Amino acid sequence: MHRGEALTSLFFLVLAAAIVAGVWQLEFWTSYGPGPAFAAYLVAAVLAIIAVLLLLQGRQQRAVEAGAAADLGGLLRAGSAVLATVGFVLALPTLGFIAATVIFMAVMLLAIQRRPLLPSLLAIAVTTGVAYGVFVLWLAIPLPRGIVGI
Amino acid sequence: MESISMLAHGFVVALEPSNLLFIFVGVLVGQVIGALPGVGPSLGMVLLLPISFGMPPATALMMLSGIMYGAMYGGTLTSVLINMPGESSSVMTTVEGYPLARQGRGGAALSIAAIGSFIAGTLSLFALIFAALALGKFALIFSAPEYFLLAVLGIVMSASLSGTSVLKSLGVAAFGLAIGLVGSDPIFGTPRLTFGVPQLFEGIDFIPVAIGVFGLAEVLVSLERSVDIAPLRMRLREMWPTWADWRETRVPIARGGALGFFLGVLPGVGPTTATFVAYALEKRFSKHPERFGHGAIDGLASCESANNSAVSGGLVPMLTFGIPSTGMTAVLLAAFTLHNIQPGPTLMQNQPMLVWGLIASMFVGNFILLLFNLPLAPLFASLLRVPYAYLAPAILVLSLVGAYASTLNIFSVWLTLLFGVVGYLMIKGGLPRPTLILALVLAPILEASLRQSLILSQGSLNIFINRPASAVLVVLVVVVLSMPAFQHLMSRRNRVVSA
Repeated sequence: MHRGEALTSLFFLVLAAAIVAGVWQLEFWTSYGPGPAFAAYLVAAVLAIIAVLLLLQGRQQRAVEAGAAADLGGLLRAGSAVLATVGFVLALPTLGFIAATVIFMAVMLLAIQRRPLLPSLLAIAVTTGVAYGVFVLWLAIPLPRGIVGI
Repeated sequence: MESISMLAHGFVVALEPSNLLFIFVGVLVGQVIGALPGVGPSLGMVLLLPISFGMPPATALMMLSGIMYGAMYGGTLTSVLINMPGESSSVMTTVEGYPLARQGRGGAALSIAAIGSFIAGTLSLFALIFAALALGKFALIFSAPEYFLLAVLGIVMSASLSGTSVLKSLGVAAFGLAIGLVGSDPIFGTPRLTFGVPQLFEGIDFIPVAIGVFGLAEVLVSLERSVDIAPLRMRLREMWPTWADWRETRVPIARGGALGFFLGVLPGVGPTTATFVAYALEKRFSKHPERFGHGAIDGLASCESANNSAVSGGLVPMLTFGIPSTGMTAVLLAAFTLHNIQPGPTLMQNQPMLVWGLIASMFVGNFILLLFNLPLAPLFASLLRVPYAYLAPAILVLSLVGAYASTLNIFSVWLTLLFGVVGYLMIKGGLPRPTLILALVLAPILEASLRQSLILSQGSLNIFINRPASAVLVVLVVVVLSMPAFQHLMSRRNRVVSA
């Protein structure tokens, strides 16, 4: 069976189940007409039907032969970037925007992408400056200051 | 005559100094975004959405629409100089533009692309005016059943033309609708699909989803590649095309522009599909089809004209019916709503200065882009020398801060990150992201019009076939849904016959 179809089908089935779980206590139809759960049940039904059709389609297709191995280095970079971004979001309220941005950019450029130091420092300064200038100085949006206070 | 008078008033609005400034900002940002691989115009528009909140609505919309067509110009740069499309509608430009650049004719390629884009973009705006006025009167007869079916048609066409499995695309659309249903029921106010999370009671905001799916996801995919690509060098004196180039491309520009506009009007068809069709058509009409794929300047001209005119065409359903036809117009529609402007058939009547000002701003923006592209292309090309490795974390920071700025709530940033991972998995799985965004934007219209229709008809589905307009739309939806199965049957039959 085609693995991609199976995974996508599974995702749609889980999503349909989650939708049903999220609205099963609400009314499908009221005396006025469609209730709060009406559209949600329709969407869940569509997802379930599509999931089943994908499964059937996948059974008819031959399994994909193993192609070139995935670029592990690339996957690691992307995965590390996700972790670094999680760290950035966690640090934002605590350390504040500027400190969190500087640390995040440094991790991304120096640790994950292994770029030279001087251009990386310039990129950090420009990015932090542009973001601060646009959002804080121009738009007066109160970005988190954190314990650092800036 | 009235339309000329309204357009003249629109120019008065567009040429106000503050509006002129932000049209310039929009097209410049669009040009830069289009030139940068991994950053699409939809992301640029979404990133500038929070910035636009403090502006008058007309100014904001002029700036955001400037990004749309500016990106079409910008995408040409990377296609020609790096052999990498800056965004999806520049793929066919890559096929012809890079070989031309290798032949030392990169400047001519960029010039013809800019001139063709300007001509087609400008003429298509006139077509937009006539089409919008004609359809606008027709749209006034539309009611809830027609709106529901039009929204369904837009989603179904987007799914059918996404280039991937129709079933998967429809599933993605349903996913987008599900996201749009999270929050409070619009009629009864009861929490729905919130799973007890208080931050979800007001629903999932469009901006974190769009930034995540278009921005973060692209960056994560781009980070998997670590190659720095050097663009081909180009000088200002190489920029000018020859008279022979112009003679060879003027008809393809007209052909590509006309085709692009008509395709762009259709919901679900966007600049990307328009360029593929225009390229195929131009190859058929060309006196030298053997040159295609090896630097055919007529093929290049046709694609570039088609992608710009398709942007104007895409505005027709959005301005007349309030139904976006592409991911970009979906973002623009979201901008209308966020600025408390109600899109739909009464938009042109209720907000004439805004609509005509927007159209006039596109004339102005196209002219600004032509002025910039011809002499400043080498300068824009120098942007491509910045290794993407330095841009990627900057884009991540700006994306996440933009998401925070939209609601001042760290929860939005978490949502952005979540949808960034979702978008990354969608790219890896070959699932269409614009369909997700289109469905998310259409979810409120779709649900409201469906429920209104059923309330009016007291639960009877006949309301969708008793009215002539909605019956036609039902037929169209069925035809579009049946087409993939029909094509599959035909191809199987052809294989059996030829065996």
